[in-house]
Amino acid sequence: MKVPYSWLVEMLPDLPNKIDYNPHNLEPILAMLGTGIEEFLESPTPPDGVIFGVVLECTPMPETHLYELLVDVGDGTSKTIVTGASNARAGVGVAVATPGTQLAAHQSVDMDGQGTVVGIREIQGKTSWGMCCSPKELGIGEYAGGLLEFPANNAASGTILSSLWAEDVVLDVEITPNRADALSVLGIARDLAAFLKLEVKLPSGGLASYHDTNFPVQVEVLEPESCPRFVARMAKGVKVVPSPAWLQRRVTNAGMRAINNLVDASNYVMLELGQPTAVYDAKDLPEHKIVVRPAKDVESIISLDDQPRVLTAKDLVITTPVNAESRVVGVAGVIGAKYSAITDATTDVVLEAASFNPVQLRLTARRLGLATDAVYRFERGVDPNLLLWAANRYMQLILESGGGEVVPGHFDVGGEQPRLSVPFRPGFANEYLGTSFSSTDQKAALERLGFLVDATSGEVWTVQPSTNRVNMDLEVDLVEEVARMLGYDAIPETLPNIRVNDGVRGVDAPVKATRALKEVLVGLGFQEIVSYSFTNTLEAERARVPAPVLELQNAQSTERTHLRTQLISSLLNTAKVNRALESLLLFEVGNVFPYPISDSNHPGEERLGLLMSGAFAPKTWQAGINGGFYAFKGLLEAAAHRLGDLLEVHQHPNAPEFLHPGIAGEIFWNGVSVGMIGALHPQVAANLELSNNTLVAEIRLPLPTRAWNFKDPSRLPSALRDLAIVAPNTTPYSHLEQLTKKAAGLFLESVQPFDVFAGGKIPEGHRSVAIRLEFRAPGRTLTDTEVDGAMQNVMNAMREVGLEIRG
Amino acid sequence: MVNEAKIEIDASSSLNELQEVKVKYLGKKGLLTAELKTLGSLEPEARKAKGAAVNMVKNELEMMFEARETALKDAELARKLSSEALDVSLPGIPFQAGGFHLITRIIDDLSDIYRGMGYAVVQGQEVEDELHNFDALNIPGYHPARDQWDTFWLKDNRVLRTHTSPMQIRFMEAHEAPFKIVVPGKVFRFEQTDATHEAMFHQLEGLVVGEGITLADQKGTLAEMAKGLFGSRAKVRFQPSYYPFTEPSADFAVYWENPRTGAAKWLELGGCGMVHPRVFEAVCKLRNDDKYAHARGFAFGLGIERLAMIKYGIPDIRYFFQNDLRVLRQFRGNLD
Repeated sequence: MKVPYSWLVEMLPDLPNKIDYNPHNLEPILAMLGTGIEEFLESPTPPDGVIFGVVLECTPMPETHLYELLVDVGDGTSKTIVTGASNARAGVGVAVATPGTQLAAHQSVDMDGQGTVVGIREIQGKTSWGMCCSPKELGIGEYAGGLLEFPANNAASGTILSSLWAEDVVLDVEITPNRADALSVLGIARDLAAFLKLEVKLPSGGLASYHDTNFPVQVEVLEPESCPRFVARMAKGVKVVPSPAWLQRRVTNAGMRAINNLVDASNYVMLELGQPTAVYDAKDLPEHKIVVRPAKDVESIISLDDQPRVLTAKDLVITTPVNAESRVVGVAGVIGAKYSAITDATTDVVLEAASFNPVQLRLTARRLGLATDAVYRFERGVDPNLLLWAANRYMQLILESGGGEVVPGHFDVGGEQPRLSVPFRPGFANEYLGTSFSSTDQKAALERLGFLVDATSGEVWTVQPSTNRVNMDLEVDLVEEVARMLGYDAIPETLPNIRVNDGVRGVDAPVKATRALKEVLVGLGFQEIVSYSFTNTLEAERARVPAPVLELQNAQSTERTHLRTQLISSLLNTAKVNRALESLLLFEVGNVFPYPISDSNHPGEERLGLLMSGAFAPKTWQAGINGGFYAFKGLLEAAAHRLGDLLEVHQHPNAPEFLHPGIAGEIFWNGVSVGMIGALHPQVAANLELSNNTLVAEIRLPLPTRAWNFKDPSRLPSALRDLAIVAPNTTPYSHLEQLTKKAAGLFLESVQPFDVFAGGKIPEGHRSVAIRLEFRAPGRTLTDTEVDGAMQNVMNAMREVGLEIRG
Repeated sequence: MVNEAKIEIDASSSLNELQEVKVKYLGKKGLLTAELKTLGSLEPEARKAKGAAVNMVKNELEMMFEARETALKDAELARKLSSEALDVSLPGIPFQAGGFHLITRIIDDLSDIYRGMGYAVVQGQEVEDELHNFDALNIPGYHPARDQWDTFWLKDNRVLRTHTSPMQIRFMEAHEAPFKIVVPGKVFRFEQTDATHEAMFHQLEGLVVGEGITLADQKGTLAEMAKGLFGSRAKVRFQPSYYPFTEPSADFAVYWENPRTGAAKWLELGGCGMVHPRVFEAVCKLRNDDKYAHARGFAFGLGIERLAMIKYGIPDIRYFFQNDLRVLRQFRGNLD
């Protein structure tokens, strides 16, 4: 929200003195109140040489889009000025850049567009003395479709315009959603006054009024919970004219566009007090009756902005009877109907100042896609007791600018709304904050905010927050206000004095285990990566990983439409990014979402993904160390052993499509299937332009753990025996190991393959696997007979399944 | 004979040659052995005298052989060592050094600081339901506060969690107070990406629930964290703020002197406050008991990437997830 500093100072005359006359010093003060300043904007004054003039005559120039203006520029002098602006007309005040005026280059957007110095020019045969300017040309506002206009009586012709439109500093403040009360200049002023102990000079109360049951405009509210209060006022014989310069300047600097006195006054009141209002042309309410009711299901209107709007029974509308029909004149608090909008011809106006249900209004505005300044305030909560002030202030402003007569009195449905009463214990505030604020200070703090404090009953006070405060119904809400007023800096620093419940001890075991795993992998040379959880179907297709399941409703780009199903795809992307490197060892721990939508409670699954490409150690002047499957697997085995776990890999019974079908294993961690390992399928490698020598693994976390017992190392020698088995290539080593372990008896300590080869005398499709068996008995030395017997059993077992033992 | 032998011993240039000389003099058919054999034919007096003389020569020869042998062995070893010499200035085999992602390092640092204060580190889930991400945190759908979180919605109407705060609810559903936890994790915002905004980043959430917890406890805790992260001169400042799930709410900033630039300033790091009573009410409803009916606690959250960017001078948040190893590998070793 934009707050012009001069406006703030008008309400806080003592503020400049408090802040050394430097508006930038407000930043830390507002921060201590919870209001951040996003930036300070310099709002300039019009350039030197620009004066106030009054258009006496306006003549269209034949065969052009131009007008010839006769402008009173003061001292009884009139000048001819040619303009192309479509809003040029006789009887209005304009900003005249006299010849010699320097306009910044980017500001002269129309006319000849090039000179930055305004001169006397021949335009279409007419001598134009200077130039009538738009707000943008003057550098004081946005282009709004034409010349900057004023009422003809705004100032004497020839007045230097900068005397009507002084420079200013505008504070762009960020108001948190709980501070609806601060969405106005008055709101900010009140907060500052309460904190800095200043007096607020309230804006004018406007034209005082009274509820008149016979008021010429009658209002009926069908559902009071949708509209707790509605005030109507009326003015007759009003002229639609430009707003005076002082008002235009404030509205413009607050970020809105000046349009005419009736619209600007409504915006002005909202910016000043925080209450949005709506203005209707009284002729469009022929029976002078307003009915607030839910919209019909379905009812459509054309809104002010010429858009058709379809409404439902959930929306609240302002209607009026026209020829026995209920006609919608506005969507409550959101947007008016084009039908009843004021025009240049409007003379009688009906003003609505109302209070609406913020939730209902928000839902309507969202559905209609309308995010106006009024909606912003209404959905956060507007003080229901502000609206009469706002209505009276509005009437005062339009009477000053547009003349006419204000109909005495008003019609009020709902009336004054009561304050809440909230019990509050100053002792609790201190206990909650850890402070030692005195009761006197706490009471004064709440009172400075305009809250009513009844402290007569001792420890439990009754506090009545002002009705402009939302979310102020709990004791802790008041505690925050006390802290805010007395300063968050006064809160001391202590540490919690609690002992945690035994039931939560050990809850961090999974996080600790993951950290230990990561540390081992880093120690083995793996680099950790962290990738986006997003993917898209094409990416999944190219990597041949399972198609993504969870899809975003509101994807940001075609790259990020789904959640990933496999870490592999992220690792492959990273391998691609780092293709220039000869060797890669990567891992990522992250969540994947491979579950069908039907499993709608599934939170995702944490996994470890690993990738190796290229050599384990690249060749330099030294030979390097090969990568490949067994290096990759060996690193995983080392990781498992480092963690005290057992890792086995078996031929994958159902190899994923992204793996080479002949190099695909299922990983068993302490005997439990946890994932897969293998070589990247050459087709995937080709799709992603990666080397064929890429290996990947993916493992579900947390990993199964293993019971552990201390074993005394034996000091007795072991017996070693070697055995060579000829087996078909389709018989995995793990099968041979299983057979061996099963047949060798209790004293087999370990089995290790030490040679695998094919060719030579080995039949086609077979290979020779040589294994070394180590036997040991606890507490004694095994005899040769015992070991030979065990070996015989192993050989028999092999032969039984048709395997051949080599001599 | 001694002189002749000495010449031959000195002349032998290898252990083999030396052995030959030794055999020539001391072997079974050696010259000295032959002398000894003549002793038997001598008179006892003369035998005794000659025997002593021959033995002296033998001892002298043996000493000479031993000395020469040692010298030859030393020379051989020296030659061998010299031939084995390597140019140690050549680089070693380039094993991969490995490394943690910077985000992990910061999360681990923070976790260590909090573990030191008796906190448990737990994780939540990245895909959340609306109930846990918003409603139970006192952010109902109709409330404008929802606008503070630009949200990714899934087609199944769940959300990518916009903060780590849902874990507050989940942890209290599953556990009873008192407890102290921190929750690191990924969060997501529907935001246009630029140098300081990402659709995905990391947060660390903290929640402490127990009797007598105060906002001052929160301030002291964050001051401990600041000192742990930035050194003992770091300070913490609170400013009022608004989060629907805390009341009172504060934003906290840390005063930090950058050791690299010497510049000192307040860094806005995150938000915090006392857990809102409506959050405890929501937990009671979910638990279907009143274990949290009168509970009290504080909660806080901070952005990890922001902290990393400030502390290590990283100019663009997008570096974190591009996984360019030229970037990631810089964050090894001692970063302070």
